[in-house]
Amino acid sequence: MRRYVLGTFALLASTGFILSSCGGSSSAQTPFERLGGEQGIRKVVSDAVPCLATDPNIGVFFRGLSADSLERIQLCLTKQLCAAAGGPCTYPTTITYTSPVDGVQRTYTCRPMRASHQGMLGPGGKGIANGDLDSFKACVQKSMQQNGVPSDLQQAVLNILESQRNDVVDDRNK
Amino acid sequence: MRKTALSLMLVFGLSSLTFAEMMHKEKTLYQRLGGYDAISAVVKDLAVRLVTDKQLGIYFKGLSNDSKNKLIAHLTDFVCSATGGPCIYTGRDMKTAHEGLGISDSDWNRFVELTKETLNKFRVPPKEQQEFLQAVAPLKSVIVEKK
Ligand code: HEM
Ligand code: HEM
Repeated sequence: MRRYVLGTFALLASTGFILSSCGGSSSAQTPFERLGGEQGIRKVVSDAVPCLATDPNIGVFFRGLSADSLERIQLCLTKQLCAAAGGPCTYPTTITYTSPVDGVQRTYTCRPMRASHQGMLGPGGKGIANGDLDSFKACVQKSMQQNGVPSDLQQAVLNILESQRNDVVDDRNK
Repeated sequence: MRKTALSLMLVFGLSSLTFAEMMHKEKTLYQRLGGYDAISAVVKDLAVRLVTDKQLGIYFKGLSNDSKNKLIAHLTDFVCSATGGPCIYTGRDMKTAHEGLGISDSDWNRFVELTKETLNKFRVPPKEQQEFLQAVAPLKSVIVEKK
């Protein structure tokens, strides 16, 4: 029995190895794992921020976020993607983070998407438009390309973002 | 006993007068502004001016309704507490809340102007207006990042 279990383990392990060494879309691994866990997701999120903040369409939405708030929303977005990509996260969730301003630990409750996005003003006074979500996705995609994320995995992440369009785009633009 | 108190008051005539004056007049700025409800109305009026202002509105374009409501609640607690009211402010300290926004001297002056517009609308007397602005003045060096 013991030997049987061990043998199965070895078989599973080698299969996993073969699959992942093909670089293909292993069904054994979640998108979360393939992205490199929370750390990998955080990297993709951080690297998207310069694009988001300077984008001619959507940069203005991020103008009023303090350094502390910008840190929070990156951590919240990471948790959100972690949860949606099959990782061990829940969302909404209360996070503990170290503020980049004074190094002090604080807590913050990451809110659901409607509470986070409905009712902004944005450049035209009507909040986030459909095209703004497209710009947002383009920045995330650019960051994934920079980080060498395989294209099928990029598509999986973009699908996760797309699936939230109705909550993120302002109701006044529908 | 009564006599002692009286003669004491005569001896320390000046200071007992001040004491009496304190007992009688020295209400907190919070009380003189009209308490929580009045401060809450002032903050809401100021918030509308800030969010729709040509110069300062840019800072609030990416705040959701939920965030704006929280900001108003925090600002109300902050002002209540800073004017001697019974509130405890639980938001971030002013440096953490504003660092990175790049608020300029001219932004600050505009903020003061809008605050005065609101205080005038609510017919807050000049003395209380001045005290209010004096109470927030020390925050300038913490909030303003750009000359
Ligand atoms: C599916 C796409 C999106 C996701 C998953 C997402 C996710 C998030 C998350 C997790 C937060 C933090 C929530 C919190 O603070 O409680 C947030 C905040 C924010 N997002 Fe998004 N977002 C998306 C699209 C967009 C778009 C298209 C824009 C603008 C063009 C945008 C602008 C913002 C801004 C400005 C904040 C801060 C709001 C505030 O503090 O009031 N987001 N987002
Ligand atoms: C030019 C003047 C000012 C501007 C443009 C400004 C702008 C802002 C912005 C954009 C935020 C939201 C930041 C974020 O969530 O990332 C904020 C937060 C806040 N501000 Fe100001 N502010 C100014 C002056 C003041 C003053 C004088 C006070 C106090 C009397 C004040 C009290 C607060 C409070 C209490 C918060 C909320 C902090 C929190 O949510 O933890 N601000 N301010």
